[in-house]
Amino acid sequence: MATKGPIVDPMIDPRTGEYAVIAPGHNFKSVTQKIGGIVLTGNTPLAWFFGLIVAAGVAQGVIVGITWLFLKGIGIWGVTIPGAWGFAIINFVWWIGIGHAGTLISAILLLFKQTWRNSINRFAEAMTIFAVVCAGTFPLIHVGRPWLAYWLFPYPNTMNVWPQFRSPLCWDVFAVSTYATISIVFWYVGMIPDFGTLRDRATMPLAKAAYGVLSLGWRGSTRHWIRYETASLLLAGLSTPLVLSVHTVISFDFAVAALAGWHTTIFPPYFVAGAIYSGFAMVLTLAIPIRKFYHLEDLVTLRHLDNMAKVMLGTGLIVAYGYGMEVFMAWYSASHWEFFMMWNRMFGPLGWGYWILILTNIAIPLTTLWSRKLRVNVGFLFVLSFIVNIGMWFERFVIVVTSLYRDYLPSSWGTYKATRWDYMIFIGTWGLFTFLFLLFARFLPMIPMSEIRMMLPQTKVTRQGPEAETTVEETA
Amino acid sequence: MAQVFDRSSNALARMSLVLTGLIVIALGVALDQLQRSPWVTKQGQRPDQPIPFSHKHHVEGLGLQCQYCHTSVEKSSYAGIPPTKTCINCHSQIWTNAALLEPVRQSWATGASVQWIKVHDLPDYVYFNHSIHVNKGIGCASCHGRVDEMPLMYQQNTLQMEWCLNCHRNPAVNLRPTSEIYNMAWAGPSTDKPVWCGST
Repeated sequence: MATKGPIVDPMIDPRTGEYAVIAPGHNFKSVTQKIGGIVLTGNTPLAWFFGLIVAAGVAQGVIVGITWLFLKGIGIWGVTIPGAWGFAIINFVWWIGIGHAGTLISAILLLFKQTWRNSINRFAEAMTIFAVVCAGTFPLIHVGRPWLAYWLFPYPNTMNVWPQFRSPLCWDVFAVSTYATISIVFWYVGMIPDFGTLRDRATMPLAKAAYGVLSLGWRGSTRHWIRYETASLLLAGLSTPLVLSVHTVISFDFAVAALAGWHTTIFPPYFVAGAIYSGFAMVLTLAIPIRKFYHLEDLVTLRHLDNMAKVMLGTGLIVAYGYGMEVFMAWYSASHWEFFMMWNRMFGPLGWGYWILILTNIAIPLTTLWSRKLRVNVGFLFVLSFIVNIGMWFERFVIVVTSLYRDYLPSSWGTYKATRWDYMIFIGTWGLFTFLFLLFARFLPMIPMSEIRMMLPQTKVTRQGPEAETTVEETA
Repeated sequence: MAQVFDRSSNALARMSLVLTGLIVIALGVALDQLQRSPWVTKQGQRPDQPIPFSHKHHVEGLGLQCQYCHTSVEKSSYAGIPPTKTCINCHSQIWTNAALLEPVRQSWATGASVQWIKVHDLPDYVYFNHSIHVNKGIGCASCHGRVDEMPLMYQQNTLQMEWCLNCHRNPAVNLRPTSEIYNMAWAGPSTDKPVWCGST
């Protein structure tokens, strides 16, 4: 690991005193070779094949689980009559939440002109898309008659029946499908210049043709770049309200209901903050092994990890505020159902879920992330990213399950226990996610070469004119 | 550097854009048409009945009133398929040797029902009621077509939900005097006869 000696910021440009985002010593060619080399290599690392096989094996859990689900019905899951929403919805919200950091990095940080986003935005966007793939599975399979799920779309039909546009579950369809589409478009538009580079650097005819088709005839002309920048900015401007509204809509699935513990007006911002919290944790989970395995420490630097940890700290504090407000309002509302809900959440039969949540989402991360030493400690961050993702899973578990299994009518109290099929499909989606991500790492440029090139010191016009080391060896 | 794609790729790229649009439109139109096609609705299909019963012969030819056979249409949700007894009323004396009617005689002799094939088969989650329609001025022909001109029974209309709803949202166009419910040839007011004046 690149952490040697005391933590003096290695990222300060000695000449200007400005913070540099990537490590010094790169030029256009070295950036292109480093990132493009991962894709265009003739020797795929064996570990990649190994990972792909393992991930594909784990992903069978989705196929086997869903096949049995479709054959036998929803009753193979642990859902019951008071707790009719279980793992499927928890995992749906969890996965879609993970995706949100990708859009935050690619869109919101672009609007704020944060150049540190450039090294991480591509795989954060990929993470978004693959997380949405995993998330999108759940709303389709947790319905009892999944073959009629197309009834959720408004289309002219012989029944003269249209979806109910007042249901947040109907909004989910629009939110998630729009989110998936826009994320893919944004991701793809961002890759077009890089596909041009890969097309020009590929030696195999097949790779040349494949990246040639994908690059859509990108020539890198000034006119192309002006339009590209405008399109990126517009997409970022569109994605920003989108990412905020998508998780808001998902929070409405709960907040619109009249259940104590669900009917909470704080849910929209608090869900979005939680989404970004868990999403950044997932970016760290992915970024840390990737930078190590592909030796990208000089592109995904400690500064990136430090910044991501700071965003996690910020959003984690919002989430903590949300927990605090839920407890406060449960008392302040003077509603004994609200009061019981909170008491049951903390000390009921599934109270352990709440305390795991407090431990993993609040106690561990929000005390440690204040320390810069820990924020740049790669091993610590890696472990912490798992802790937060566990915590955010339990947040959804607590919200979905503990509000449902004991509500207004004590004669309708039950409990919730997930079955092996719940676990199988959930764990299967990890495999599916990893499988897709490994394919992405091998065949697509993980870090936007064009954007990294723009950050190089050679591109900066100084008073003395362009840096002497500027060469036009590799412009692509 | 050698060109990756030659000039013909320009045409291919443009065509692929147009084709994508065309395929999307074609798929949409095809699906829209398919869900209303006789292939889905079974309109006009004449299944092989155990006996090729002719409504044309019995109604147009012999002048039987609909309720002679479909007795419960005014009182019940189900209009009823006549039992073998109804056939035997006449066919114990008429065409007693016709090979065509062998299944009826068999049924009468053994007590086993004739296995008619249902032409208007609604799904069981639809609770259609005949009597309310007949008593509120919907004639047989409005839904079943000119059954008196059907040598073999077939389905005239789609029986799809949009078809039901079209009438329920605007029933007036299909209403007729209750005296004319069973008049297969009844025609509503037209431009020639703006007002319907009863049978003369």
